[in-house]
Amino acid sequence: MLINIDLYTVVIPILVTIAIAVTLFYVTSKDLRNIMASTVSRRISEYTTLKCPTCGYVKVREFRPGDYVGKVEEEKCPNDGSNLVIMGISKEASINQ
Amino acid sequence: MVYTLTALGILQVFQVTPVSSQSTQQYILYNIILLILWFGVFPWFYETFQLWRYQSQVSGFLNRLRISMNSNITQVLDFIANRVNEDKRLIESRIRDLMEMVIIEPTSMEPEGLVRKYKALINSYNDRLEKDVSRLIPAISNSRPIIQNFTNVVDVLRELNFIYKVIDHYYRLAMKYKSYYLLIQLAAILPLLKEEIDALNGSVPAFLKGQPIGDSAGPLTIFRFKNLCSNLEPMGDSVKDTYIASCNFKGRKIYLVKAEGPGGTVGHLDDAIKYIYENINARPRLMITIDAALKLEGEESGSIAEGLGVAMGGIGVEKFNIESIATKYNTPIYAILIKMSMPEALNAMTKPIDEAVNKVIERLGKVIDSYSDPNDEVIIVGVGNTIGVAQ
Repeated sequence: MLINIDLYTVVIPILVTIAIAVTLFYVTSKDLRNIMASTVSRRISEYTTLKCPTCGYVKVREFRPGDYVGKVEEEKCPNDGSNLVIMGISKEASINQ
Repeated sequence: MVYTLTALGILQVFQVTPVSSQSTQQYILYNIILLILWFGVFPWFYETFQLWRYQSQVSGFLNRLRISMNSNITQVLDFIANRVNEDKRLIESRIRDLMEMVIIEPTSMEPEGLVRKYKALINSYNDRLEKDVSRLIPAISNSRPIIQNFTNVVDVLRELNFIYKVIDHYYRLAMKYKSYYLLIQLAAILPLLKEEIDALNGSVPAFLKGQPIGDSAGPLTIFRFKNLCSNLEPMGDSVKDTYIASCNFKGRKIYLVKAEGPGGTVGHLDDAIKYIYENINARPRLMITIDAALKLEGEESGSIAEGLGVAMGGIGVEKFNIESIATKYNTPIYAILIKMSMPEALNAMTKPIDEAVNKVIERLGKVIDSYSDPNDEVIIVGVGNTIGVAQ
């Protein structure tokens, strides 16, 4: 039995079908990866800004549990000895900006 | 017989059969088979593939949401574990009960008094949730800020649970009836939901730690502006969970209003405004509201916009009441908005927003200068959740 395997009617369609299947698989898996991906990509550093209410001296340190804006700290101002007050708490990195 | 013919036809189409002379009948048969392939089999294959693709997207999303909800509950349990000696499973079941709490909206068939009904409902919901949280962790019942923060966490978990249930409901319906279009709609809203879920997930650690979030920009503005005033006089506990103070700024009498921190609450700003007008008998020349606003994708985080009207989100009850009072006394309302994305609004405050607060204070000074005269009275309202911001 003579079988005619033609390049244009057999080989190319098979190759095209395989290419389409691979592309579709890649696209679908990419969709899934995008959905499953976590948006937090790097370490977030949170810091607290303290200010002296008298002289305006500013100090920045890492956030500690219990910190809140307006809290009068035990820490004294090196210039005039006043208690430092927390003026801001913020973080460096943001999510989904 | 049919299968044999179809198989033969397919083989002929690809010229895999022995070469022979083709009759007209065979030619027609091959073309019919080709038509069936192109218009019957391939579209079906395409639709099935698409269905599978959307199904995997939605189910993947639901899995991720379930994992993040469990992770949030674990964080909450760890937080409680340091304060309570009770069985973890018992506490978890109580938290899950709170997550299932339902709020039934008042009927709007008769709109008369609808805003009052909403206000009563919201107040009773907040009170009930706070009491439930106090009962859940009796060790923190003396610390109102921690209870308020924890109430916010429960609120977030409830919201996540609600989103999960609704998406799961439509997903199951779509799979039950093999509804291609229902799945497409679900898949289409996934990016928007993902943004909201990321925002809610990120807010849990911020609420547990009691850190200011992006939405605290309004109350933070009041806190920092207060330092520029002289003769600051707080007005005690006139309105629940709300801070009211008067001070002098450039010869004007300023009334400062914000939720009372550092616990996570939005206060009762409308009651505070009513108190200023009707109990103190103030007649302000101007009212300025400052709030966080959701930015559009093309806008920069921390950018500032000015406008007219009450800058306030939520259901609209407080906004309605403030608008009613301002209209009654003919007070123009000025708005200053700090733009941010939803994740930024609910997550720990970022540096650009913190810096934007300082710019808003500069603008406040200019607005007061431009639109009021010395000896006038001005109300400034810092709208938003005051978590991590005292007064």
